[in-house]
Amino acid sequence: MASLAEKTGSPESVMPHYWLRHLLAIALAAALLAPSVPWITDAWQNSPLDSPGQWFALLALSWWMAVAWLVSPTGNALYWEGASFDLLSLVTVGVGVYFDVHVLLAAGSLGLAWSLSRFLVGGSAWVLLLPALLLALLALPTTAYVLQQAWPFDWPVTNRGMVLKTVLATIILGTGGWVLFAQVHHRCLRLGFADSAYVTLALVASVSLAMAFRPPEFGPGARMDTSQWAFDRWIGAEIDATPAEQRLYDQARLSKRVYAGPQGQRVALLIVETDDVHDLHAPEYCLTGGGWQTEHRGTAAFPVGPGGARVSSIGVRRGEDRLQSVYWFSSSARSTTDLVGLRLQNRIDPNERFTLYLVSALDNDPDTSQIALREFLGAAPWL
Amino acid sequence: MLQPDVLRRGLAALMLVLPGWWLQDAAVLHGDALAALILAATASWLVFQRMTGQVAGQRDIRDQLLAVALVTASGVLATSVLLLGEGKQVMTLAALVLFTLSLVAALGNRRQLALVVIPILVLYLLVPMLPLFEAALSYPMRRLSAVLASLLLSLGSAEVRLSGTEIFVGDLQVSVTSACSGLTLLQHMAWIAWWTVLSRHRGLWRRAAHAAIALPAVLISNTLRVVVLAIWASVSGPEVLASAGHAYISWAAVAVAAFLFFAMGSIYKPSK
Repeated sequence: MASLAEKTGSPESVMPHYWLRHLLAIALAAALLAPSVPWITDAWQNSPLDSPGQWFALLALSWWMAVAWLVSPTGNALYWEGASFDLLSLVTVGVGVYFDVHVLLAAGSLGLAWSLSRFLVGGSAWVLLLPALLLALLALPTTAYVLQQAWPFDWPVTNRGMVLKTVLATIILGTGGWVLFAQVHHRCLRLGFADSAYVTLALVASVSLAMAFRPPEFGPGARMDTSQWAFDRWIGAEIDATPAEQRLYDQARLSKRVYAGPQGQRVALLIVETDDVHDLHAPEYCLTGGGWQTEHRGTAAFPVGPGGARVSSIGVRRGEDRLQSVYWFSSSARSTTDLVGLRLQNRIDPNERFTLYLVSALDNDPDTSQIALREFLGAAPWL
Repeated sequence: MLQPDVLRRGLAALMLVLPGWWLQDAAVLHGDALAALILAATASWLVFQRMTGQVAGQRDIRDQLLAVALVTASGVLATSVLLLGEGKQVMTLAALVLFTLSLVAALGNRRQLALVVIPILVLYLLVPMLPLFEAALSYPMRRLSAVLASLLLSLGSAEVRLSGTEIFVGDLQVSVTSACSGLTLLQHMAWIAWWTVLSRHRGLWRRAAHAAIALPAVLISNTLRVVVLAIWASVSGPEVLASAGHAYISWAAVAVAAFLFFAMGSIYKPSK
């Protein structure tokens, strides 16, 4: 198995116009990412959880420049060694387009740009540009949400997604710096076709494994009859959505209500109806982005709706304020709390419209909040 | 150059995190906690020792291809879990085992892989699935003990009948319950057998053949326990089944099983 130094040849084989080659590679990345740019910039501007994404993009670009400055594009591109990364990126783009998942399309485009850049910048620089790809992936919207959902521990930190992204970026930069140092001192990574195929397949298998541990699940439909404002001694009133909510649910039909119960309980209900599944977000997305800190997350202790759907329960805290909520997405046929399942189902049947229901008890005491939620959902009118 | 030794040690440490996590789950320790902990500790020690030790032999393309094959099988299995739906815990864990083994093959070689297969299977499959194994094995073990015990008891003068896992000796009824199934005895014998074969033999098949003796040793010992309890109860009355003597006989059964295991194991000459 030849080392990269052996593959990349002697100093005489330095490619000409190497800055131009790097700029061309960056232009290629920008071109491939172009269809995703409106989605990315919109999320950076409007989604609190994704708003610092531009800093990670800047870090990725800085890393690329550092590699371009420190490592000359030399020798042969790793034609076959990179083929499995080409394939993985293409498959990711394909899956993103087919299932209409923005983040997969953008991630696949970035991966393809990095993989193809080996033809422009040479094998040694290509491997060292991997941290730039990883930092660019962290810049994409949704990654903070995915990270905080995947993090298994209850961690009393505000904006956990941003903290996790920062920690990951530090690890990437530290490891990348170490490998860059080794490369500059002529001790480099070994890479062959079998290694690159293994890394690619391991990435795919780890995603499959992560999903296998938490497969999407659906329950019976749980839709409320939203035309009823008074039921079983509960009386509701419409309230205005905040500007942030209106921006976040741009194209969706938003209804925000407060209901008063027979013992003075107060429960807020947010209903988001949309024709575009992209408008539906898990409430953790905006709550944690808005400075709320997750205290617990899990399945609600009680079933909801006529079929007994299992819904998600979250408890959040911001300063002295505490909020207990349950939420679910439901069409007329099925309900789920899983965004991945929602997207898959939407692909199978694009005409099946899902609605987000977020029910929150307006009470600082978690115990009485849970009672109020149970009573409200027990009395609510169901379709 | 990245140092494979450093990576292997890091992998060894990572591989022990998950089983540690599983052992936090009370369900895993639902049965005999001590036996489960000793099994997990033995497997952890072996994983760490064998992953951080010197790797015999050179790494070649066959090791790389083996790693690729294992990780592909892991991905296929994990994807099939997704397609088949939830509740496929065994398949998910098997996919995780294959993924972990692929990492060992990718960072070490196939000889090292062969060394860690058994402890990884124990840590990643047996320990988290202990409650399921217990549920699956409990009735067959109870039934087997009841059949063997009734056969032995029928050699005596009293009339013996068997119904499921209930033994009727004259007017006395003895139930072979889950606690009397011999499963706990088997768990204890598993780690005794493991340590014994590790210290006496080299090679997977020789060790497996010697360790397999644990099963007949447990069956014989547990059958004897049921027989002794049944005879004692028929002589002194059924209340003895709730006495401290019942527990002492159970402990004696462990000693008898261990003795039988060592005695029968003497047919194997030590190869170490």
